[in-house]
Amino acid sequence: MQLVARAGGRTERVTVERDNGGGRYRVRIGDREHEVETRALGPFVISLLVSGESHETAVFQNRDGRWSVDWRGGSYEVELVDPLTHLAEETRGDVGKGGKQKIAAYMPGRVVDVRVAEGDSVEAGQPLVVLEAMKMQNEIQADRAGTVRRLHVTPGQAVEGGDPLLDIE
Amino acid sequence: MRILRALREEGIRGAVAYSDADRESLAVLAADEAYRIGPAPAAESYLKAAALVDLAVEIGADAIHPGYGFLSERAEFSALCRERGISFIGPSPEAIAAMGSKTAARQRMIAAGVPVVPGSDGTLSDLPAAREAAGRIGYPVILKAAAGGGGKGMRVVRASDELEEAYRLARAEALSSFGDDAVFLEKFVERPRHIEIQILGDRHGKVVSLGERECSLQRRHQKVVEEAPSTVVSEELRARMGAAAVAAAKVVGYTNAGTCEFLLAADGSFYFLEMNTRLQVEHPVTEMVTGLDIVVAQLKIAQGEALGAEFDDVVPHGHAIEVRLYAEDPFRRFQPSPGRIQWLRLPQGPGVRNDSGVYGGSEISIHYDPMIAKLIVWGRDRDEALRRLARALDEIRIVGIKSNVPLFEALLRNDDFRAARFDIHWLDRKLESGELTASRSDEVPEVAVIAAAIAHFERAQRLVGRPLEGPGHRGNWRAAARQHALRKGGGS
Repeated sequence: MQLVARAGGRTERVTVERDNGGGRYRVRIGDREHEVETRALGPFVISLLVSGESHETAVFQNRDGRWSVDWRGGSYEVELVDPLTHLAEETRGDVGKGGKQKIAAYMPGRVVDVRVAEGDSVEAGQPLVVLEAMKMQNEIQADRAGTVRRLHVTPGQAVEGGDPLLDIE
Repeated sequence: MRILRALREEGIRGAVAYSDADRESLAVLAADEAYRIGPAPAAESYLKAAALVDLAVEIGADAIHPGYGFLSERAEFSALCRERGISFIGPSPEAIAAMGSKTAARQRMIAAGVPVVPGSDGTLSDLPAAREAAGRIGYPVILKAAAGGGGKGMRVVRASDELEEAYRLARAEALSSFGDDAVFLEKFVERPRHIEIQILGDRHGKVVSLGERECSLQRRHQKVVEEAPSTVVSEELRARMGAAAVAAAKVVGYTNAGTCEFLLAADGSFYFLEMNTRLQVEHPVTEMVTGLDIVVAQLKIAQGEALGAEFDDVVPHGHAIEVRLYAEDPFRRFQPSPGRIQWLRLPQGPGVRNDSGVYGGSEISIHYDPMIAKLIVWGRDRDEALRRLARALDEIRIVGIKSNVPLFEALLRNDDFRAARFDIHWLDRKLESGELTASRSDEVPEVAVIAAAIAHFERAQRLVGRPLEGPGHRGNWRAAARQHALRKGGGS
């Protein structure tokens, strides 16, 4: 399988092939080749032996299709698209754009403050909404840069865990 | 769990009262008996003193251990137990009450010759009284709420023109946080350390000190890292502070476990702050450097046993450090990260102790403190303890929720922390200045791309309907099981 990986500001061609099954693969990234042996340990946890080096990772796919990989205490985002999609996005100048962020309340509470308006440009880490829950005020921040497309709440509104707060694109 | 473990070692059956949010908690699973006490909100369950005592009587329990928080420092609860013939594993209602009001406790300490921070000696009736006290003590001063702590109702005042506003704000905050707007004034000790002394008192009048804990690393007045012993407490200072703590406890007729908190100034002078009339979260560091089991001691004291010789002249051996693992995101201002833990591996091995109430598959609830575990390490000296802490943090695997592990990793990279050069405001300062941040590079490691690519490949294969092969295929497991059965000669 041919893919294009976009991660950490870099774009590289990736090839993944099964290597006789049994959890073995040959993975090429750019001009680097890796022999990988894998075992799934649990729902999201994979043990990888990459040319003998042992690595334990947790891998999830986010709602926007990007992959989140936890490794050695860090969390990394990898976007994988097929080469045609990448080419199309490059042509349109859409590469590296934020991607949809559906910001939701992580627990029930009350919206105390909404710091942005529809149409605003936001940066990664920018405070968007202040939620009061369990006697604490918590600022909810943007994961990545983007534009606020829709606000779903107003100040004073009570929300349940999982309720949408705003959409960013 | 901590209490259940002590009970089990002593051959005593343990029953846990749980709220709906804690039905699947490790304590309920491990207990001999478990009874529902109410819905998740503490006010409807863990704070229902009468219901808890009724339950104890109904099931024929001999004693109640109040744990930490909730009712553990409520004199009325201790009294209610006594009234109903249930042994309260903690001090008497009189001792709790005596130490419960910070201003009343202060008065008794002064009378007993225990050093206290120079202060207003009583609550402030009005602004003129505050001015008089501040003038007498000398700026800088700090206003504090008489009825509670945790930073609420506290204001530092560095000059007389700041006093009026600070006084107003402190009283308002004290009222809204504790329902009591009484405030008092103290000398503000610059860059002090928070040193606390663990004491134990039996019912025969004997009180002993088990040494100090260094608890200066606090974020917004909440302890984050605790150590024993403190690098700045000499043998001589330990003896003097221990004696002061014992004197303080004796003055109120204290029995069972308790902790005297002191402020230690840079010049070596120390001042009594308050006494916590219960077992504390950070008690394991004392256990690790003394080899003593404080909870078992609590049980024995409650049964009327006298403190034996092993509690005399306790001297710390080695160095212990505890970090509190919380389900919070250190990159998002420590926003709580409740949810289900999909995968959990806590460290083990030499010098590592985990006091945890969660397990893979359990849920971190929004209703209480989002604590995952207390991780405690011990080393023969602080350097070894630090190395061990780094190793232990590296071993942790948590999937499904965020944790504050990056904060501790950042601390281990910090020179001041490694040299134990800090005070009670240090952590807040470093977090605010951004000096203490998790190491986040924008570079994505090759392994992450490989893992994502393989996961993507497998997911695509599944969608296309090809027979599943590769990681975690059940076929592999079945084949392995068959092999195993064959080797063992049949049967499963």
